[in-house]
Amino acid sequence: MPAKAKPKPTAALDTLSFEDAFAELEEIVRQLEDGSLTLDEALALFERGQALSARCQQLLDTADLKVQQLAPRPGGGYQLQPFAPDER
Amino acid sequence: MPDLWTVSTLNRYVKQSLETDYRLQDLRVSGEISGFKAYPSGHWYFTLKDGSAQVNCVLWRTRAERQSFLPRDGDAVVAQGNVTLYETRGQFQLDVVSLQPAGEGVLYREFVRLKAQLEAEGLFAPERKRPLPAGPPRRIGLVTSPAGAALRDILNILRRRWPLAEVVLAPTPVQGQDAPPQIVAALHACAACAPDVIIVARGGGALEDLWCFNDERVARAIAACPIPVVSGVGHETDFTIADFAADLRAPTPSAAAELVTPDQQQWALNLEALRLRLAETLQAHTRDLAWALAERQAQLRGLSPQGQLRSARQRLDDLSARAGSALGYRVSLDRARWRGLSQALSTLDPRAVLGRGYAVVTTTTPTQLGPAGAVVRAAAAVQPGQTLRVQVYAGEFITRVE
Repeated sequence: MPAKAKPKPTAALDTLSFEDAFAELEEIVRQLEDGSLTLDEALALFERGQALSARCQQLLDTADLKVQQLAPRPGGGYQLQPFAPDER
Repeated sequence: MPDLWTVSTLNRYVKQSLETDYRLQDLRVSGEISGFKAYPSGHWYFTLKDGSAQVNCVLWRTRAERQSFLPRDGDAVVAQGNVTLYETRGQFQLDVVSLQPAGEGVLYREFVRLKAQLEAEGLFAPERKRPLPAGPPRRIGLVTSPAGAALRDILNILRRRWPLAEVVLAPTPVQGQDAPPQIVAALHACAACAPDVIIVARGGGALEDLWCFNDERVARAIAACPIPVVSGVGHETDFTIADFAADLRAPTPSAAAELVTPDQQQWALNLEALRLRLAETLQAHTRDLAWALAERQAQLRGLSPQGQLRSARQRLDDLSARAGSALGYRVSLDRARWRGLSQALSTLDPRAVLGRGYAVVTTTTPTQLGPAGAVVRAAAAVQPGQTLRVQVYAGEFITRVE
């Protein structure tokens, strides 16, 4: 029997935010729990789910608060620049 | 060319000028107490202020002991005393002789008036309050002083609780008369960066230090902000107009940071739970499939030639068992019929007739009736002198015809 996993719109893992990865993982678990999938589909989803959970874990483990500050732009308006608390 | 003075000489001269100006001696000044401190030495130091100015005051121990009440920040008072100069610093101050309470403070009255006005406009109405984002915030806006302790506290908490977030700081002074329009501008610039939530914060301080958060412009900007705003101004006991206008009031800047972030450890647990469910679902799925497979295999076995043979054999067994039992039935039926027949037969037994006294006479030699043993049914069939066999119920004997 030819393996034919249902093609899923799978975003590249390393660009996924924690929230998006977590939401997709939740959806996959829901689908798997629904149980109306073929084995191939279930296995493909399971693999994706594992990758997503690893991505979430990695984001949790390595997150480092990014702080930017708004500074007036010479021509008017504002621009974002890295915040250096020692400047002042 | 003017005279050259030393600083000391200058200050001494100004001090004397102040102290010899009769209008600046034994005068009464109304204002609000702020930054009140009673030193261990027994002296009191504080400032008197109104909406736009303040003056340093000192009340020496011997006079402090005679005061009828202990002033607190925010108290409106009338101070009686003399203007003088603190030479060391070149600061003029009021040498207070006595203090009298003077009803509610002007600032407090202004606070109450503005609060009532904005409340009447519906600016603080609960239905105006926007809920904070349900999920973890990706971008958090901060409107506060870049140099304040509040910012440091907030960043520490965000780092600990939800370091996945990105912070956009909109720096602004948070103290002084010029602060309100700058706070408003910072809030607008911050909202333009489309954060999920904005924290407007300032650390604790004297009442007048927080005053820019009682400004009408700041309150209106917060209420009109398209992004949910959490206020964290001063200490727990400080309530500002900005707090009422905000979607959520946090008692302190740190508390504001906690309110807008989920707990990272909680999310690690959520993730772990989801991972377990994931593993479980696949197990359940494969288990279901295995069962379905076993069921189909059983069905398949029933359809195989061996299976058919086996089932045919079974059918045969079944039939023969049924045949056996049918036969048994038949036999018992026959036995019953046989018993009936044999009873009927026994009634026909000639010996039964003999029992009643009849006898059977047969020939002993061949005669016209036939070979020996023929039954004699007529007297004319026998000749005198002929021997005959007479059979009775019990035995038989030979007789001769006379």
